[in-house]
Amino acid sequence: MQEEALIPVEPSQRTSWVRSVGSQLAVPYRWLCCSEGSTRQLALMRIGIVLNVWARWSDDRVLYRDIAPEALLVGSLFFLSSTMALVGLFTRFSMPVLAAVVSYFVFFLGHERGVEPYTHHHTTLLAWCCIFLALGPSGRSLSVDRYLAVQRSRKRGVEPPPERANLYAVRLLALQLVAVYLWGALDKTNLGFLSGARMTHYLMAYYTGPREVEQLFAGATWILGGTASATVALEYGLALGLFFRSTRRLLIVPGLLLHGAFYFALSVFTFSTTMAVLYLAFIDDDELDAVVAALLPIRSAGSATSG
Amino acid sequence: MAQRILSGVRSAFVIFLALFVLLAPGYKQVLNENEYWMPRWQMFSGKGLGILAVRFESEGPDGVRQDVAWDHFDPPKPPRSPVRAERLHTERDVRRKAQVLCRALGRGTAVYAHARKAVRSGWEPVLAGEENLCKKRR
Repeated sequence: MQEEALIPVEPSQRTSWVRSVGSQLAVPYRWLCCSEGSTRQLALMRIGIVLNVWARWSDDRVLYRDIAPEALLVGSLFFLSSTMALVGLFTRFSMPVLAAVVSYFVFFLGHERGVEPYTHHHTTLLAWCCIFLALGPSGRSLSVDRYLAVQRSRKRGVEPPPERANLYAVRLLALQLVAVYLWGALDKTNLGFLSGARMTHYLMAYYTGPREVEQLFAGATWILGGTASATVALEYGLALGLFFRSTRRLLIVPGLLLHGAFYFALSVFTFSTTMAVLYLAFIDDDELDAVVAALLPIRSAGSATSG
Repeated sequence: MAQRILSGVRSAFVIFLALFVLLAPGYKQVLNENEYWMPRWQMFSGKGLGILAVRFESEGPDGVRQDVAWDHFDPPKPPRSPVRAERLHTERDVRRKAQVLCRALGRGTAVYAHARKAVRSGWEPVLAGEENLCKKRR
């Protein structure tokens, strides 16, 4: 190694660090843009996200609430596109329409027209999820589209189209999950949160009112401080560790439990359930495919693994 | 050839979106700028701010202070919904609450309050328990 270092550097070798950086970037690039896998993962996420969209907006868009032409049009588009996207009918069309409608709720009605509840984190997260789902072939599996494709292939006597595609939409959804954890953890990395003071504020706002928490139970300050620090540590862990198989296995259950606790104890609407759906993006597509295949009583024609 | 160009354009778009997803929250959270279509992930960042945590003390004739239980104001009666938990936001709220206590404890009682306000960095002192809130202010 030392001898090599003494050899004068040729101009061509000066570019070696560029190649080194390039090879380092090639790994995330291939992961993001060039991975191919089962489309059942994206299909399950489509179903999960549309159910969350229904849970959040269907009651708000019921006909009797507003029969002005604009609301009527948007409401009709909402129910039509969401139903079609849920069952996977004309998904290449229905999912982008649903993404447009949900974006209209959040970015136009929410931010432009001041419908404040539509500007919350859970609604914004749903809007971005719909946009990323609309970019991918989320109707290629577990959908009416798939059923029709299999029927057409049978009639023609050819193999059904493979349930495989580029996974870039899944990757974007995975990055969305990571961004929520990373920026959420960064926002909490301050003395106010880590000391447990902000946790105390939440406890007071939701449950205990103006009582000092130390009057409620001994050691409350320490317990809340510890809980706050553990929450931030877990969020950082999830943001970085979900990318690696070894740490992912350790993090998924605590992550889901964290969201379960939020869902049970705080007012988070669909945030926890949407995040739970996004965890699917970090499960290996073939492993998930095997689970889906095992759950289906009859093996479908042209399964994802058959190519 | 057209396929390769299409694939390249798609990759560039996906990389752009990935960078947007990962970096856009910094626009608000680091640069402190605001643009409604830029996502930010600051869940619960405003929850509970401005509410007061209060501890009342009463002082007997012997000059010894002791904490006043909150049940004094709010006797337990099932079922109690935490959603209805009272929230105090201002010094005036605390003084009003203290007057209830003064009336309940009777003449000659002194009531003091330690109050602090919930702020993003933790707590901000409001009352330090130095003033007898049963005495009328001049």
